[in-house]
Amino acid sequence: MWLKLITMKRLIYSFFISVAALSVFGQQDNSPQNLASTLISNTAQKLNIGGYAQVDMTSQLQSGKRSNASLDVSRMVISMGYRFSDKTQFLTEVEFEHVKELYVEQAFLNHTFNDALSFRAGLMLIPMGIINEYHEPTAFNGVLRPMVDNTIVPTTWREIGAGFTGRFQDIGLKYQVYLVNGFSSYGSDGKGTLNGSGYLRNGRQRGAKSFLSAPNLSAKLDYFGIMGLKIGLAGYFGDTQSALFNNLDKSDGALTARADSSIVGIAMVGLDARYSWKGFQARGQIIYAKQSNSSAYNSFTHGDLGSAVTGYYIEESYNAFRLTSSSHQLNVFCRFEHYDTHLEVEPGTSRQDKFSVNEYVFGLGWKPAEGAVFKVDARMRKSKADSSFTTYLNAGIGVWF
Amino acid sequence: MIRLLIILLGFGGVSATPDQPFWAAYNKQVTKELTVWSDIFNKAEHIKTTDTREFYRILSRSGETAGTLVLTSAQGRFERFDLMVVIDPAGKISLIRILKYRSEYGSEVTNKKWLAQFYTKPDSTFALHKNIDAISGATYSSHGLIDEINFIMDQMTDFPGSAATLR
Repeated sequence: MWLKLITMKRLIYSFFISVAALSVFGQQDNSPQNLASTLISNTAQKLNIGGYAQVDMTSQLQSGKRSNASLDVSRMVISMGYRFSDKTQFLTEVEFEHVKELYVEQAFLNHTFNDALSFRAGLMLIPMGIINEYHEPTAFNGVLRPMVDNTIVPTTWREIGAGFTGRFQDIGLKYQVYLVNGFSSYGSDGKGTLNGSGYLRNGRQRGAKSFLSAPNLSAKLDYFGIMGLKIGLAGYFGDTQSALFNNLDKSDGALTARADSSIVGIAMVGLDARYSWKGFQARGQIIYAKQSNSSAYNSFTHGDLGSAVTGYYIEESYNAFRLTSSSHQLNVFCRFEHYDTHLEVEPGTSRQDKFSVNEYVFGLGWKPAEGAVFKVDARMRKSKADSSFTTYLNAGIGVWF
Repeated sequence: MIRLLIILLGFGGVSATPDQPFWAAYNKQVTKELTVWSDIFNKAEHIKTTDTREFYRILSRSGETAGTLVLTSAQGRFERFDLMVVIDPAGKISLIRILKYRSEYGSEVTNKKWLAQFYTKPDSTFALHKNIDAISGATYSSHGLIDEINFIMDQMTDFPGSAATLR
């Protein structure tokens, strides 16, 4: 239906531009049609529709136990880009998660002054690590996203904000600097949201009736000047948001102290790298974050948030079909991951081994066409508190168009 | 529509071929790239426009054909991007430059070293993951670019008046 509408829209554009060019200037040869089609392909193709989807099956293998597998349409996303002019564009992604949950994943307006400077505002992805910005299922190996990009970087991490981005093509540098809304650490329901098991994940406001006490700074530098290599350095700094700051009487010391106990300061840095060479692809990232005020926060919310967390992974893959005549890809990969949400804790919080987790993943991704992938993998997970590995077998499909 | 009028009336830039939209839009940029590409470059002479592609003969100071210039565009994930391709008289690509990259996604495709992969290949057909290495963050744009280059190279063999067939 949409595609039909777009095709019709293009035809109408094409017709009017051609007629205008022919009637006003009466040019000979084929130049009016060429002009029209050139203009259409470059400027009048205003609406672009795309999407991605991921359907997964995960099952847990335990000796002596029988478990049910889980089957899920993890996400089904429709993305749209609308170009108002050569320099002004709106981009959005509307997402169904687990069939029943509806989210808006991105919705921002971008105005480009020149290559080096664009201003954008709206609901935006926070640039941290690899997956949060490139989260389409064909862009990563494995049925599920890496654990570090789930637990430490709470993918898909997006908030409302504004800022600048740009690139310097000649030296291969891209930057992003945004002021964005932060995590909600204490909601109006009187509960703390940040803890040792989920870390920041439950504090994401996702632009849904979100509230702001103090904006956070998010920035990333990407360097892609060396062929095959992409390196990113990201930083995220600021205090979390708390419902207790709403209508707070500044002269009331007790209430102010209470509100101050309901927030933490987050300073997160991330370094990521991707390198591809003749069918080999290596990628890795390391994230480290410190939380200030976690002692006061934990005693106020009866929580167990760590004062420092870390997570890293390294992955290697090879396209086994590279040297064949097939246009398909068969990516064989392995990945090692580690994260610890209790790398450090402040006095009053007991450090828990179960939050320090290692995972090995081995798998295959068969891409019969670019943008379409069938995946299988095995994951072996073990926390410091476990005596043995738990194995998961996963399978799934991913598409991106 | 104003832009269309400007282009049709030839106010889009001073050049030997003011009615060609790509040339009008990128006259200075293309001239600069060609000057850097070869110090014998004198001018580009419009040969033909097919669909949305503009073909030019590159002339040296002594009046000899130094290659063929193609101004065209390719499809990225959300946006098209404009590029120039120079094919030498032997039919080999000797320069690719992205003239305008509109999208925030996939700008890695502008990497000059990555683009240089096309220069040395004797193949007539290019394929990602085969004779062209993948580029992180620009899968769609690199596919769009490869499709466009393959199309142009196909055109070169049966394109009368092109430098490649004049060798």
